[in-house]
Amino acid sequence: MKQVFVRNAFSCILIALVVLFIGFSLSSGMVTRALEVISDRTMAGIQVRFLHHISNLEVTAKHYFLVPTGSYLKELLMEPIPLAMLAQILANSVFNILFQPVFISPFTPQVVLNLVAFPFFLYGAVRYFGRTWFLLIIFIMISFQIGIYDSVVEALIRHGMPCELIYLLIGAAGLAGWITKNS
Amino acid sequence: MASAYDIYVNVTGEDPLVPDGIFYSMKGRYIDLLLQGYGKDSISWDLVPADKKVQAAFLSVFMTHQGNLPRITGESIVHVYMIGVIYLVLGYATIWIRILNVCLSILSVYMLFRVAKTYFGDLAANLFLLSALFLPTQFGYSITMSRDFLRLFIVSFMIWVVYNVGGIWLKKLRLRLYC
Repeated sequence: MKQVFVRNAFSCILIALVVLFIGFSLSSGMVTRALEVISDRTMAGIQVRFLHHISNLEVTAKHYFLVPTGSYLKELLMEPIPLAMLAQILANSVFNILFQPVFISPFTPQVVLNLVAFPFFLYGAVRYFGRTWFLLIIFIMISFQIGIYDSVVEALIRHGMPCELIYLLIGAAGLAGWITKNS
Repeated sequence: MASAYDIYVNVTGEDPLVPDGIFYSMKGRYIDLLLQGYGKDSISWDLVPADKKVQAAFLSVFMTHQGNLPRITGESIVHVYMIGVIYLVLGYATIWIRILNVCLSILSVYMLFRVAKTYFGDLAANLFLLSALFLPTQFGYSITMSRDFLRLFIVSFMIWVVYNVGGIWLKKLRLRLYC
């Protein structure tokens, strides 16, 4: 009997203390301040990690075989344009769309996929040329336009999305054609 | 993902994926207010979020256009008009534009999937769908305010029209788009 009384009294005191503590922490603003500190630190942590992975993409391309902003346009306005320069500009524009960023970033898996798909793209483009010629014209036209104007990696990969989808479509057609041919 | 990113941008005031997003949003808000009937003198700060960066972007837009609607000179202006109309119809919330971009991304992939299915078979179409839907660019940027998805949609739509609509008409005329 005495033991039950002591246990009940202990429980009541414990509950009262918990209620008092909750009341005090809420009314004193302690919880609010703690939540603010926790949310600030969490958001700051997320932001630092996020920016670390994204900021690499903001580089101008002089380190990554693109030319600095505006340089292509200057070359294009030269009279006459050297053929070697023209070839370099056009080849760069197409390959940059497909294989940038060349450094490790969140988009690396995509670049690896594009590298793997490249032989199948060529196979698909040749085997189904009768069906893909229009896609190829669109792909090359947009690649030239974007590749010539965009010399920041982040903008380049964002603007190149239509080209990338066309590339993957032809690549998938090539892969499917290769699988069915060999089965 | 779009909701989480929208909360992140609204809480921190930073849009690390597409820093221009805040500017596009404010330009859209400016057009929305003009379409609602506000004029140069009746637009006030309480119509714009209290964030300093957002207000600076809005002020820049306001100073450039001085209470007039921007002239449509290119793709980016078409995009901000689209944002303005969406804000006008659904109310001012950046999440609508993120949802629109997600929809445009999925629609673009779907249209190209239809082209692949018609012209290259089921296997090619499924392979394309599997890779395209989970591309980091599609997956990551579709939750932003980027205008690239409008361009992507236009290109995909054009390809779908040429192949799946034009191709069928040509077939009816006993002509073929492909060899």
